[in-house]
Amino acid sequence: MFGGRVVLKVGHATFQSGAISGIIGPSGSGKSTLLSIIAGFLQPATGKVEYRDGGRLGPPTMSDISWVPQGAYLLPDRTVLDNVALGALSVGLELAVAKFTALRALEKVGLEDRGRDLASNLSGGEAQRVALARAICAPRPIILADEPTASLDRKSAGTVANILRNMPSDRLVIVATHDPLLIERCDQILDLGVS
Amino acid sequence: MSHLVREAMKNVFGRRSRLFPYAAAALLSSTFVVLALLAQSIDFDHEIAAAHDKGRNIFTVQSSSSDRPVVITRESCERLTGKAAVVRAGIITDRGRKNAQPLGSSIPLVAVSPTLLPQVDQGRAVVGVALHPLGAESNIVIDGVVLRAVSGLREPAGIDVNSAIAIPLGVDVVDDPRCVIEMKWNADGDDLQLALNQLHVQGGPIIAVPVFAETTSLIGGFLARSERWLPILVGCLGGLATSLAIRTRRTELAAYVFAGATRSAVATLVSLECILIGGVAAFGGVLTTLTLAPFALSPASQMFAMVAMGATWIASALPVSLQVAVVSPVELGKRR
Repeated sequence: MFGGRVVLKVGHATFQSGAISGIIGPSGSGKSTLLSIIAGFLQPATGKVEYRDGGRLGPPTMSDISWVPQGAYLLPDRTVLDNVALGALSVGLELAVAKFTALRALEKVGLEDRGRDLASNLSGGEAQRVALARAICAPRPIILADEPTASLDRKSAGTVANILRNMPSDRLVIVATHDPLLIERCDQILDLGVS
Repeated sequence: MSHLVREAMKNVFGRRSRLFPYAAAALLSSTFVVLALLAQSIDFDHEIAAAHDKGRNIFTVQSSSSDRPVVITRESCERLTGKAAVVRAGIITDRGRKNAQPLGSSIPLVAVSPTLLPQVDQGRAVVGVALHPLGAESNIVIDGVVLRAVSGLREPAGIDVNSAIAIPLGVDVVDDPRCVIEMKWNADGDDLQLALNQLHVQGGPIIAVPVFAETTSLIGGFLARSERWLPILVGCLGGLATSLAIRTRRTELAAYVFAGATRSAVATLVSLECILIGGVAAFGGVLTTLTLAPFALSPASQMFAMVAMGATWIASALPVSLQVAVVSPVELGKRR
């Protein structure tokens, strides 16, 4: 509900770890809103989000979630490596370990040679891949990605889609997208345009 | 926590960081405030010195009524010298006008306690600064008596030896109707009363007549000056500017949130940034004060003012800055 108006109505949806789930729908259908609700950033007027992790059942917490926002959100005056390492530092890793983890994540997104560059010098597509690297270097079980390929060229979008596709099986990946390249790699689709 | 401290340090002191100019401004502001306070101290010093020349805080203690004469013992008068809040005290007696060669004729001659005019100690005469200056120590002849003499220093009004020849008060003088007291620059009425209580007086009540009466209290005026609030004012303005700068960093703070930082972590980060910038202001002020301590009226109180400025800076910056931390991450990300 927003201003007394129903902006999103979803029946029941289940997302599985080890799979990549896509939330699709036309612009304004509530894809990003649903991601924010899953993350706990927004509270639904009715209903609830539950996350089962082994014996635990309850709403996911911030420590469960890595977020890939639409529009990167990097620290412009810091190096790419520093930005990616933030993800690992946020889960309490030591600085050296965090930087090593960040380097591995940069390799995965194909930006290992840009680690020392300032984030402000990246193109939009590179920044989006750095945001993805930041998310995957934090060992959190849920990755929520909001239009992660929106500002990428086809090659980079393919790289990002493959990275998300090949996440370890214990990770739950949910993407909000309308990119056919990413949609075709999803194991499960929630179409808000239909629901 | 340690990584938040590291992040805050980088965010404030990183050369390319958005907050670095604010840290630099904090340092410059503190230096400016210290210099402004120092200028006020120097002005105040000059005012006090000018008033001192006119006889500020110099008193002639005498009978309060001409028909009730008093006698003050010399020993009790001179003994006040060096006591709390008293600079010097002693007796000055007029010995008439004398011919003094080679200085001239009809020159006032006064006998002064060595405690009041230390130059007359060791039996020397002191030639007032307004008279013909002597070179080094030399001889003068007064009524046929040869005396060793030195040139005097300029004395304030109330210790009237500038236009006279001063000689040591003879040992035969054991009391006098008047005692001259010079109090310290910051002495107050209670200090004077304490000094008067220690005088041995015979006869009617005494009164301390000020040589120079301040129409308005110099110290009171200095303590009540509106400029004394400058550190607090600069602290407030600096803190508000810092908080506005932090608010403009919404996208950067959103980066921390999207990297997994909790709201409390972002709040801690923002608080640390405010503390660091306010700390720079305080530290810079204290350091500048220590460097210029010899010129400061009261380095300790000035350092306290600088710490107060830093604390005000932090206190002014925190409330507005922390509002950013409690905003929903969705909102944080939206407002670019």
